[in-house]
Amino acid sequence: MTESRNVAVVAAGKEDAVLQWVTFKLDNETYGINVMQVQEVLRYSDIAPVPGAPYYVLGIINLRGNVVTVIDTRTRFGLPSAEIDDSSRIVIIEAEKQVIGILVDSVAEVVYLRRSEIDNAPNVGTEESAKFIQGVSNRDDELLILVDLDKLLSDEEWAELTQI
Amino acid sequence: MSKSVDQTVFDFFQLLLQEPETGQDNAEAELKRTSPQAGARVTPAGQRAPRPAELKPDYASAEKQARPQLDKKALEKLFAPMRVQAEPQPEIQAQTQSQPRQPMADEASQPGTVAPALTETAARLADCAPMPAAAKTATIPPPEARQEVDLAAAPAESLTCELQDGLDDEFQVLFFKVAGLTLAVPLVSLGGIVKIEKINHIIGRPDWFMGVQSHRESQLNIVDTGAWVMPEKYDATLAQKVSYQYLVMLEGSNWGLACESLVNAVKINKSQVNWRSKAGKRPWLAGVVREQMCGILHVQSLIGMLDAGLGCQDSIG
Repeated sequence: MTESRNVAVVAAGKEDAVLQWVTFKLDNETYGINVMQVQEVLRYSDIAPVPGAPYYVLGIINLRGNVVTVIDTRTRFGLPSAEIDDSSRIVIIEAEKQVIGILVDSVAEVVYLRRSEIDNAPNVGTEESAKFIQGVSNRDDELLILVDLDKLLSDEEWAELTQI
Repeated sequence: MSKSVDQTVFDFFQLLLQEPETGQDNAEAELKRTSPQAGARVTPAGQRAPRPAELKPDYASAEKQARPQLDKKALEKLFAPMRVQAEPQPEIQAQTQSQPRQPMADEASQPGTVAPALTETAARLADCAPMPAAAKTATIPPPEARQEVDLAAAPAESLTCELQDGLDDEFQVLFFKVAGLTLAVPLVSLGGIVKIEKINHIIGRPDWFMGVQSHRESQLNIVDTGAWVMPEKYDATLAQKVSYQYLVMLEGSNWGLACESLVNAVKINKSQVNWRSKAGKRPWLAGVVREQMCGILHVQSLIGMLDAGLGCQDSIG
């Protein structure tokens, strides 16, 4: 009896694992991405535009000899554009076996969240960008919107990025 | 009420009445189009199109403005349930039974003696917006026509039956305002009132979804009520004027309707509501409170639509 209870507690503990999220700001909202997918955070540097690239691609940067495509996250999320300022950052992430950069307004912190603290986002979205949101969490009276980076682009769009 | 508010209210009801008809309704509508006499039998107001000359000048200018915008069929439909509701009133029955029927022109010139309640309602509607002459005249249908209307309305009662069963004969409703439009929600279906503080916008959601607000360790989903209820009227200009203050929470859900102001909570009688008689595409509307001329919400249906991500005009199923 005790053993089975222990197993249940361990299982519950696994289910309620603590996850780390890198938070960033976009249009005055706070978003979080899984820290395991973040490689580094860069200050804004010149981005070389790529002719014929998809509308959400800002261009490419040279990251220690590697070419990295940078996505305009605001455009991708359907948010209005904003000026680049000192807070702007390029977050280098790995998703769908590709390394890309996402331009954000600012990077805030790394937060720890239990799985149980993550709520489902309201399931009323019909737009493509609705798929990016994997959940929301209320933290210190502030809503954290958790982004599923793997769904940031569709399979075709991920494939298209490799051609740039 | 100011003119813009009246216009908004009327537009709202016009919107509600312009649902595509189905089944029997279509057949009736087709019958009306192809056979004016048959249509007039069902809707006697239509018989009175050649109105007494003395009344015409009052509405002539208004009619000119209204014609391109108003849907006559919709307005006839609006008046039909009112006649049904008004029929049980003793003074109307006494009038029709004890006195020989007067010519139509006489009725028009002495509206107060025929059906005070109807003329009052008609006057309110006339205040709201200009209407075509045929629709303006609120008359008592001839007995045979009334019987037809009653028969048509009888099965439809069941649509809001569940809601009505859950209400006492006298029940409380909360009136709230959105962009000049007044809506009512039965208090039994009210989950609470929450002040709007910080709304978190979530990407990829419909225009009517304002975002979420944290409240007691849960997230409240905020509906831009104006955008949901009257999307075709709720343009950027109107949206800018609207200043939402409160959330009218829907019982048993995380959905809250944003509103500008809370008017009051009053007791009304079931008979004061024109309960919705056709399912149509707007199950969220339980009926119309006659005195306040506002829609009363069917909260459970509304929650169902919101949960499904449907807008006011989205088709169900």
